Amino acid sequence: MNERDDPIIDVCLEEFLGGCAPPDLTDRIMDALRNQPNASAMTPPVPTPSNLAKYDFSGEPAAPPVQGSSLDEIVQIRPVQTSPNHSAPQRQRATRVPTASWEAFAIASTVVAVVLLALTAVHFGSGSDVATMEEKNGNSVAKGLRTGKRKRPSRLAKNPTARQPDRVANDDGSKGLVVPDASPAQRPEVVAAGGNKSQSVGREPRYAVPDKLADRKVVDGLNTLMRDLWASDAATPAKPASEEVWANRTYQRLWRRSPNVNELKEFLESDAETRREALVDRLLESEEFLDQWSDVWTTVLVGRRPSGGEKDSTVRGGLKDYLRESMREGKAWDKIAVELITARGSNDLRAEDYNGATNFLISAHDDLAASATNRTARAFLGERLRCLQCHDDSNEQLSQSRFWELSAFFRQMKVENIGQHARVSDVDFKGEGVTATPHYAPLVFKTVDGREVVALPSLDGAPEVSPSGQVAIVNRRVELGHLVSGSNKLSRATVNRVWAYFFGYGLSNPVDDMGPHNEPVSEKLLGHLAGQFRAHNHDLRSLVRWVVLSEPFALSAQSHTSLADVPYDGRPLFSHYYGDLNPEGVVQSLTSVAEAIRSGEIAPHQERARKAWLQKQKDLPKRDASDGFLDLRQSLIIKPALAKELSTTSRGMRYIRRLVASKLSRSEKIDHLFLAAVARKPTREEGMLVYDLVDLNAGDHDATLQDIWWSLSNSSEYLLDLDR
Amino acid sequence: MKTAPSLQKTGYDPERLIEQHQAGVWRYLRALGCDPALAEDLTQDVFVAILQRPFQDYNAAATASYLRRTAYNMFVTLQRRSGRVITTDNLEHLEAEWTNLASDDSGEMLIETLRECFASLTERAQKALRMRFEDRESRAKIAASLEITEHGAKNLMQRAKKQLRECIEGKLG
Repeated sequence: MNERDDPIIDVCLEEFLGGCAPPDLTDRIMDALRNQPNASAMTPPVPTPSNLAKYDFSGEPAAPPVQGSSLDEIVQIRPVQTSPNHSAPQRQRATRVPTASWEAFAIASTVVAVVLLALTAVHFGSGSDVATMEEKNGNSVAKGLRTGKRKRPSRLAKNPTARQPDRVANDDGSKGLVVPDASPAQRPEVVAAGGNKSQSVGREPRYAVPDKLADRKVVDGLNTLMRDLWASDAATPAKPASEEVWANRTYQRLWRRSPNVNELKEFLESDAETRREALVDRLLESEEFLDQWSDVWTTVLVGRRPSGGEKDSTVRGGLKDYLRESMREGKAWDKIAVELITARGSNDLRAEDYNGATNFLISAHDDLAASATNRTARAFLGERLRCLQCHDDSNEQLSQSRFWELSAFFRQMKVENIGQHARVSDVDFKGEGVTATPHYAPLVFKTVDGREVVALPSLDGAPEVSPSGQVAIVNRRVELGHLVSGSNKLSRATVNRVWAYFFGYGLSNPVDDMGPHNEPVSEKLLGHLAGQFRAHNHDLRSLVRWVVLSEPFALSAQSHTSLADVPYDGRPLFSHYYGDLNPEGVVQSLTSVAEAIRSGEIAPHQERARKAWLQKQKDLPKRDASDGFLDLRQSLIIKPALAKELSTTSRGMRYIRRLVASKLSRSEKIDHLFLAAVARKPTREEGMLVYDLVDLNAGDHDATLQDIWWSLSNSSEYLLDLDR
Repeated sequence: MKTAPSLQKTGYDPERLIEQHQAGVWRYLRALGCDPALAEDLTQDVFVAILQRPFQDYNAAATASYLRRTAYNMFVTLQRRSGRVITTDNLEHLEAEWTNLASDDSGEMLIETLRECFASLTERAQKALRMRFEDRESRAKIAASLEITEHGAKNLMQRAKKQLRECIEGKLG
C-alpha cells in the first residue's frame, strides 16, 4: 500500500507503531571513517572560532555549517555512487600508497597469507558469488549478492575474505589465489585443455527453458499475472480504452505514427473478434516495423548521436541496416547479440570484409574497453557496471572484479581507424602484470586502497574460460558471445526493455540496472515472459505481439482517483496506460496527419524538426545517449513546435483546404479532423464548442477548421497520447 | 606552538557528534522517502562526507541543518541516478516542516508528542492506523475489519493523520 500523503507523520507512525526506530550507527560510521583512504587527514578536529588564530590549517578551508545556507554554499559532497570521473582522484590517491616499501610488502604478504588460509578452509564454487545457472521460479539468484528482499548490510569490509577473491583456474579444476608478485614457481600452471581453440564448455544454455506455449496462452498468462499484481496491491485497473485509442496506440508503438483516417476506418469495420490480432500481425510483417524497430535498437546500442564526427568512426546507418536485415530474416535475438559482440571486419561499405554489426563495438571503442564492457552489460545483461570500474559497490555487494572480468573478454579486440571508418579484429593479448604469459593473460586493475588485482575473463559463474590470451587457443569475444546467449539475463533484459518501450516503464526500473537490488514489480510476470521468450527462440516479434495484445496495453490512460499507481514514484503497476512518447513517434504522427508522408514532401520538414529537437536536447537534463527512451518532457517540447508549424505552413494549410473543399458535410469534416488528430470523434460538448467557433469566425470554414486543428494539436490528449 | 587542541577542551568529538545527530538525519531521510536500510546507508555517507573535511560545530541547530542539507543532496543525487523524478518543491516544503517540528532534538520530542496525540484519536482511527503501521495490513483488510469500504478506510486514515498533524503542530508549533 502506498499512501505517503504526509511523509513526516507517516515516518513517525512507522516508528511509534511499527517499531522502525533509528539505529545506532556510531560504530559503523567510525569504522567507515577509519577505513577511508585519507583517514589520517580527518584528525585532529578543527578548533572553535575563539582560538582560530593559534592554529595552522594545512587542509582545505572549513565549510562552516551555517543554518539556512544555500545549496551553492555546500561543499562538494562525495555521492553515494561515484562516477568513474569522480573516482579518478580516489584512484590517484590509491596509487600513492607506497607499495614498493618493505613495510607495505610485509603487510601485503601477511594479508594475502591470511586470505589464502581462509580461502582454503572455505569452499568457493565456480562463480559462487555470482549468479547461479538456473532460474528458480523465474528468479535468478546470485550467491554473494543479496537475495530475497533488499538488505543493506554494513558497507564496511571488516572481513577481507568477503571480497571476491582473485582467482585462476588450476589445472585440477580447483580455485586458488594468484599473488600478483608471486614468483613463477609459486604460480599455478595453467594449460589450455588439449590446446583446443576454446577451453569453454557448456555451449548449451545455462538456463531452464519452459514448455513453449501458444501465443494466446502466453498472453493469458501475462494477463493473469498482471491481475494478481493488481490484486496484491489493491489496485483497480482502469477501464479498457476504446478501439480507436488502442489502434492509435498500436500504430504509434509499432510504426511510430498514428493511423490515417482510412486505416482507422478499415480497422473499425473489420471483424471485432479478430481485428486486433490481424492488425498486429500486419504491422509486424511490414517494412515500417523493420525500419522503426531497427532504429529503436540502434539507439539502445549506440545512442542517438549521428554518425561520424572528428573522432567517431561509427556508421549508425550500417548498424541499423544490419539490424533491419537480421529482423527481416527472423534472426533470433540471442544470435544477434552474439553477432554484435563477436563482430569482425570493416564498417566501410566498400571493404571486402564489410560487416555492419561492427559499428556496435566501434562506437564503444576506448583503450581499456570500458565502454564496450558497459554497453554490453547494459544492452544484453540489463546491468550497470560503471562505478565498478573504479571501486566496489558495497551497497549492492558488487565487486570491482565484476567489471574487469567482463572487460577481460574484450582485451583481444583491436579497433583500427582507417580514414573515416574502422576495422575490428582480434589479436593475441599478452596479459598484464609480472605473472603474465602467453597462456595466462590476465589484466590488472587497482582497487581504491591501492591493491593490484588480476582479472581473468569470467561471467556469472559460467564454466571457466581459458586464461590464455592467444586467439588461436581461445577467442574471448566468441566465448563471451556464447556466455551471454546462454544466460537468462539476456531474455530478462530484453523483455524488460521491450516492456518499457510500450509502457514507458519497465517491469524493473531503470531498465539497465536489473538485479537483486532492484526487484521487478512482478518477478513472476518477468519470469513468465522471459521464459516464453526463450522458449520461442528469442523471437522479438512474438514478444512484441504478446505485449501489444495484453490487457494492460489496452487499458485507458484515465486512472481512478483512489489509485496510487504513480509510475515515477517507484512502483509502476500498469493499472492504467502511462502513455510515454518518443520524439520520433511524435514527428511521424504529425506528418501523417497532414498526409505529407505519401506525398514525399515531408522529408525536409522532418529534418528541420529533428534538428530543432536535437538543439533543444542540449538544454535538457543529461541522460545517457544510449538510452533509447526519452522522457515525456522532451516529447512535449518538440510536439507543440511542430504542431504550430504544421498548422500554419503551406502543407498544413493545403490539408485544411483540401478538407474544406471536399464534399464532406460540416460535421463530417470536423469528425475527420478529430479522427486524424486524436483518433476519435468529438464528444457532444466538443461538438457544441465547435459550432461556437464557426459563429465566431463568421462562417469562415477555413479559419474554423484551422482553429480546431490548432486546438487539438495543443491539447494534452494529443500531446500525451491519452484517451479521455 | 601550533598544535591541535585536545578533544576534551575544545573542538568537537566525532563520536559525540554522531550520537547527537544520527537519529535526526536518519529520520529526515526516512521522511524524504528512504526505506530504513537506505536511510542507514545515507546517514553513514553523510557523516563520512562531512567528517572527512575540516568541520566546525558552532551549535546543534547549525550542525543539524548542515547535515540535513548534505543528506538532501545525497538523496537527490541517488534518485536522479536511479532515473526517478524529483519533485523539488515538495522536498523544500518538507525541509521547512521538519525544521519547524523536529530540528531541535532530532525528532525525539516529535515522537513523544505523536504518542500523546495518538491517544486522543477515536478508537476506530487508532485501530485503522495500528493495522496499517503495526500489522502492515492491506487497505482491503483494514476496511473489512472496520466494516467499511476501502475508500472509506483510506479517508479514515487520512483524517486521522490530519488530526495528528494538527495536534502536533498545536503542541510544538
